[in-house]
Amino acid sequence: MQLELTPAQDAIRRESDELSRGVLAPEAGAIDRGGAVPRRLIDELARVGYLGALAPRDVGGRGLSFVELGVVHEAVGRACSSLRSLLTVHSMVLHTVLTWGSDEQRARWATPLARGERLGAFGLSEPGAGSDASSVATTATAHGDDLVLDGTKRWITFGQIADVYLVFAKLDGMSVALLVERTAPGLTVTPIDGMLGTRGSMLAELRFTECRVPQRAIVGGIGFGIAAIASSALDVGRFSVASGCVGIGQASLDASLAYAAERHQFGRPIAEHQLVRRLLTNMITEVKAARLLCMQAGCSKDARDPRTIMDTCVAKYFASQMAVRVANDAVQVHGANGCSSAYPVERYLRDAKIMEIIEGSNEMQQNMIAEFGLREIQS
Amino acid sequence: MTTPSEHSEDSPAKKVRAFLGRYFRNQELRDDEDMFAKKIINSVAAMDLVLFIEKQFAVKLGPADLKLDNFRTIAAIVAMIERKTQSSHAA
Repeated sequence: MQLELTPAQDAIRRESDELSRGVLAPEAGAIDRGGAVPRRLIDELARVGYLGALAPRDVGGRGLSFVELGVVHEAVGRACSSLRSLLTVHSMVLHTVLTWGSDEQRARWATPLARGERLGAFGLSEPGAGSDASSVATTATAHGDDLVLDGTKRWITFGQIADVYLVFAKLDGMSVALLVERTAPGLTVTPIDGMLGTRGSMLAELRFTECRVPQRAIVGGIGFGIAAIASSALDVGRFSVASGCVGIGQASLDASLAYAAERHQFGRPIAEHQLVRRLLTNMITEVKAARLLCMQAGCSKDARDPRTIMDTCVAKYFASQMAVRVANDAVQVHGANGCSSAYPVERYLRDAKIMEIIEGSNEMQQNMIAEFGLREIQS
Repeated sequence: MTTPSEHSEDSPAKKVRAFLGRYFRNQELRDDEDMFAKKIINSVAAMDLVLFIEKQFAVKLGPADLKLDNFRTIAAIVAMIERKTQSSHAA
């Protein structure tokens, strides 16, 4: 594993950094307050190819590696976790279409998704099925050439504006993944608001009431909805969330370093007080450690090494906790100002907390990491 | 050119069994035993297995390969790998 970005990867870093600072960050506060992402910013992400980051160029994607995807997600996550969440769920759907989609599904969806002309969202969570994904209660019942869906999906990121949903259901008791268009008869989309963080991620509840889709909407094989489709999509999602957490950490650190240098108390900058320096030291160290874990996970993904599942769990587990600790310390450095929406660090803290829950809660990551560890030692 | 025998260390069956052994520790499992019935294949194991097969045997699994019967037993997995390997050599 290399620890430095190659010149080509560094060019992606500079490009995404420029977009993050110049275009995305200035809008992040308004997105948080307004609870929505303006379409022109989604179009901007599409224009630079970030909605099709992993997709090959021949289908209209950017053809980035996972290491480069991590770089992009760190940069976007540094500016706005809501926008970064769009990249995550959209890339999970696109990755699934490219990896497990039929020829017909690839022909229909790969290019519009890769170009950002259509948006995808991931429909797994339900009112009664969160961490226990195998307990989804949404059913798919065969009716001739069609399937009839009944059930409810909740907390669907960018569900409000997605054009196609990757929905998980039970068919004859076996899990299936389906591509369901927003226009499917019997699908009702209801916005969800009042969330703690990533308030611009336009969550929705999807209600399927005798919702009819063609049987060819099934992705991959019957029985593999959770086992291969959801797990591989969540693996990509976890990696992007982990990288986004490095962005939250870096943004919190940057804000704290600047504030500590300019804020004076007791006749000198607070950066000269040892206890503030201790906070800054821990922030610097933790951000660097999380970035290295993400780099390792990205490298093992690019090598298609099976160890990438473990590497990604470890990166997501550490980076999301790091983001909460570092954002919390950033609020502490800022004092009362840090508790005000006039400064971005309170948003970083609210957004960071969400990262400990999405794409597999940290308790699920702990279970998986321990399971991997036990398997390694016993094999 | 020699082909690994069914029981050699390099045989697909041995490699698949060694890999899956991490998931069915403390359990005996025959090559024709149903791993879904024994709940050995969970979501992580399935993804891990797909990555292992692709990396170890230099094949690419696609949507047509995602059938329960291809993953039900060690023997079925090995048969799928051999079909994929032969078709990639023939291509």
